[in-house]
Amino acid sequence: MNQVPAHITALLALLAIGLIPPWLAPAHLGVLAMLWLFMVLALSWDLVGGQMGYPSLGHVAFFTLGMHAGTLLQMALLQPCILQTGPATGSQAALDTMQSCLGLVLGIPFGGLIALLTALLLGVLLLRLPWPHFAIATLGLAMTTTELTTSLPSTNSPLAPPVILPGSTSPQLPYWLAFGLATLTLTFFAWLHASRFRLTVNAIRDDEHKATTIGHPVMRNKMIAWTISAFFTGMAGATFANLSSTTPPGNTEIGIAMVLMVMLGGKGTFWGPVIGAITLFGISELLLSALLPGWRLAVLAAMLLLVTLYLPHGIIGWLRRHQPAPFSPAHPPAEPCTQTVTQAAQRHHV
Amino acid sequence: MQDLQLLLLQVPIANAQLLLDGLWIGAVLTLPAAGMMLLWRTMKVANLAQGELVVLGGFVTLLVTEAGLPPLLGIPAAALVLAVFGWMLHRLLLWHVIGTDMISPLLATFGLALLLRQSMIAGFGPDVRTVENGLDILFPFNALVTVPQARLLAFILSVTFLLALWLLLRQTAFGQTIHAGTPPPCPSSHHRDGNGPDTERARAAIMAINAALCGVAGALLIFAWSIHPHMGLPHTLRAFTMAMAAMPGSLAAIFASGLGLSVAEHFITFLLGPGFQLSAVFLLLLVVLFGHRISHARKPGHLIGGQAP
Repeated sequence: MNQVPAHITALLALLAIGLIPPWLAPAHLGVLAMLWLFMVLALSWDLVGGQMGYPSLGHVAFFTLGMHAGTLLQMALLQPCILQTGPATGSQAALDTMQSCLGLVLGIPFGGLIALLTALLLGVLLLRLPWPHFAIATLGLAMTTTELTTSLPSTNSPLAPPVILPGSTSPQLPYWLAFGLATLTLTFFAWLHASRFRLTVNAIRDDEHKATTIGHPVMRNKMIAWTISAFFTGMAGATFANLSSTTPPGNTEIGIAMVLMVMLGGKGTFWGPVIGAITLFGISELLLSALLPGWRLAVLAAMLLLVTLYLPHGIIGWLRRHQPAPFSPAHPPAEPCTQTVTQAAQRHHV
Repeated sequence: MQDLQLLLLQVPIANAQLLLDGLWIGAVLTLPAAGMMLLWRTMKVANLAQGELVVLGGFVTLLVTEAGLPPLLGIPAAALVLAVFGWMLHRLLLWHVIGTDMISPLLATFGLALLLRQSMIAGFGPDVRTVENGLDILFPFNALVTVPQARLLAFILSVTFLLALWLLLRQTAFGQTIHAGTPPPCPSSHHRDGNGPDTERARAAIMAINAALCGVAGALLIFAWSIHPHMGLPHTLRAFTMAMAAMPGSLAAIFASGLGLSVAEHFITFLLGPGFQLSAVFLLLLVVLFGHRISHARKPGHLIGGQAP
């Protein structure tokens, strides 16, 4: 029971830290926004890949879909905004413009929605496959999504990402968008982690056949987890489109980063993906930012390979082995009963 | 719609062209598919880096031709280099994860695939590469159909290599234990998972054979078609689809499914358009996966995630 407040305290501390950068490090907001998006991506991948045991190797497809859907909506909303924005006469006019253009952030939930609907349609097919086939099928999904989205206007038009919202020249708004999404995601997944649903999802990972036999609505649970994951990934994609970054990571890089973050941190836990996201972000910014994208991708791939071979349970797994007390799960697996009958009866009476 | 009318009514000979195009390349792609089947049967591993090994074989052949040697020498060169590479891959890296659970080899080969791809882009550039084969084009059927000699040769060579593999599996002691589906000699006790050095050596040999098959396929591809580093993933998916369609079949079944799927892919790409080639690969993958699941579900006593690959 002592662990529950510690979890919440740590979470609140993390969120509080997120409030600091706009005051202390305004120059780095674009980069730091990416950190929050990393956390969103890691947590949402982990739900399907770590908690449920269905590694979705092509999950970046939802990121791409969310990015394009969100951008297309924002481009459509931007047109009337541009018409309304004349020379600003006084602060009142500027405020009105800002208010009328705030609808642009609608692109983010819209991106999530499109990803969710796609997941719904595809999940009916893909989730009926055993998980190794599912993993390979998602690879095909990512491949196909990349092929089909290369000719969309959101990639080719001059208004393509990043969409700069009129009236806000500072990078604050994109940072707040990313941080806001991360707050929502972290809170939601912390709640989910403590919920019973998470245990039923773990049951799918541990022994799907047994779960079906004892009556879990396995297909329904799989669909719920898969669509939730796609929703958050899609929103992350749509938010990503609003970040203006000099060298934005490409889709393949995001795709492998999602898997790497979770494997690095420790799949199937709450803090694993978060720690993995922070660690990967740190490594990426401090060590890899000087590299060309091709080399960066190679390093990430090598890291994934090494982590899979040598650190299969991630940082959390390593910590649990060496420092079991603070890091073990709140509900440890039941220990084998070693008490005698009389001992048990005595305990019961006391 | 228009394309469909073209095929069915107006220019029926175009069907023959698509069919032949599909057959030539299908035979070549059967080799990595056979490798996939081999790996699955013996180690329960789906190698997601299979396509990258194919492309690597092609690049070995490129180096051979750039050294001034005849391009056909690239075939044994690729086989040899890739065999050694496959052996090293197992002994140095993959032995950690093969035989433990099923998710680790998947993720490990996923990372490996990307690493190989980026290395090839760094080493050879991201462009499409091909090799001058110096061969002619045939024009059968009154010049309505074109058959490049190089592709015909690639077809014949692929069939030859498949036959050689079949002989290896049937006639040698090592091959027969592979064919039976169990890794060769007995494990000694003090290794990980009770797998002794003999088993690990046998597994490395199987990975070497698989890599050699991919290398030969890559050599034939660059000889008669072309390669580029981003082709790895589609080839992996194609190999997997062909192996799945033939599961749990013989080499003959793989050959038939390989040809059939390749021809189907050509027809679908023709009907949908060249910008949909990868979508065609994905579509066929889904069709085969679902066909497999439906046919498995009909068998009594079917378990979810049971012994299906």
